[in-house]
Amino acid sequence: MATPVKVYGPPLSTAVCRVVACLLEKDVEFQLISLNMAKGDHKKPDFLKIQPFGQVPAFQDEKISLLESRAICRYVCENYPEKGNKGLFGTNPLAKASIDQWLEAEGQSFNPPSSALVFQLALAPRMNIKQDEGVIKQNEEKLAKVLDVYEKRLGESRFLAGDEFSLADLSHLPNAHYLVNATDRGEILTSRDNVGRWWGEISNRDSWKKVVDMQKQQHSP
Amino acid sequence: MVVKVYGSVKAACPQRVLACLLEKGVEFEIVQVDLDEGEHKRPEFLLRQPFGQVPVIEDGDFKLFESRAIIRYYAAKYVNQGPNLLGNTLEEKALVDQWLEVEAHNLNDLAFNLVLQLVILPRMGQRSDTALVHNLEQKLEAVLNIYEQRLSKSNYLAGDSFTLADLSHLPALRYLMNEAGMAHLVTQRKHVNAWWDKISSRPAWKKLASLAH
Repeated sequence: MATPVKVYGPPLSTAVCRVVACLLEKDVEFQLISLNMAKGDHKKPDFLKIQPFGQVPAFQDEKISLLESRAICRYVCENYPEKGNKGLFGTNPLAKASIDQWLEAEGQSFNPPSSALVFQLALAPRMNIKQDEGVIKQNEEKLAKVLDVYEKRLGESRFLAGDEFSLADLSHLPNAHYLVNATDRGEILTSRDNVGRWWGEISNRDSWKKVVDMQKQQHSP
Repeated sequence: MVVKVYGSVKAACPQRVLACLLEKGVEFEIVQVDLDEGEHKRPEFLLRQPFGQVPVIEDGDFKLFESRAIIRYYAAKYVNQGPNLLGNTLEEKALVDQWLEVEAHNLNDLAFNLVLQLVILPRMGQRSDTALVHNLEQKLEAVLNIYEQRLSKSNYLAGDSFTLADLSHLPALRYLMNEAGMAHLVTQRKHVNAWWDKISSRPAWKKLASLAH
């Protein structure tokens, strides 16, 4: 029996959730080792040894130590091709290319404005940091443009990379979840017909529901 | 069938793709997209790349955008042709992906914003923000310190051989070191400097640099 893989980071972190969602989809046993970022656990020497940028998550299995949530997800899919959702990262090169394309689009186009909004609207108030209205407006506009592209795409395709749920869709879950559930700007997603439909489908997956449960069991930062 | 690469040979993201195709010996044709004229925001172009960005490739009926997705595709398709840019084991491949992500999320924005401040805004007759430049430089120094640490233990980012992970850094670092005048960020770090010398001396990169600059 393989030892569970280890994921380091708090369950409330969006990047940690990305990895946890992937492990759940792939039915890979894992141990979540939480970190208290408010106390600076992620900047301590022991952690910096496995994640020198002082960011979460970090990942370890018997063979390798990895950082960057999207790289970890790709590795999990390729290391456990026969487990859980076999098509999560595509089963042929063309499918994989489409998934990589939308995974990159998430990382490059969706993530920056959505992360900024999640920080400003959901996290800053909790941390007693003053919100920046200019940053909020700028990122709302940016995200709206990105979601216009998604609206068109999701009118032509059930999921971003094709007919099946993939890593590309999964990668959006953490930030989108915060936007819809922890801010008052959720309608940026839900008011668009196709994006709304897509959000409903992907957020209803068992794997994501389990992640949400895990988050609820944590105290707020 | 020749791969069509839409973009400019001078732009960083198309260069990432062109460097990969040159390394793998894949024939391509550059289809110029006039960014200054806003060609990339016109309806005809948006049909190819809905975010209005370059590059996008067309390979027969197959289309793909996002430079790091494109290089992954071609490095895998032609794994047995030219140098292997993906690593030999699953673990090596994971490190290739890891450093591609590090480049994309920890280095690219800093480098891009420095080039914006130091090169692009002045060209447009606009003033750059000195405080911001200083801030960006400090952050980039911190990131490159980690690269220095890594490259003191490993010849290339993902292991002993040149891979997509190293290749992905070429365009932005070249701009930083040349037009943006930030060469010291690399040259002051022994291992980063040695790595840069190796990767920027590769024939494929030299060929691209001569086409572009």
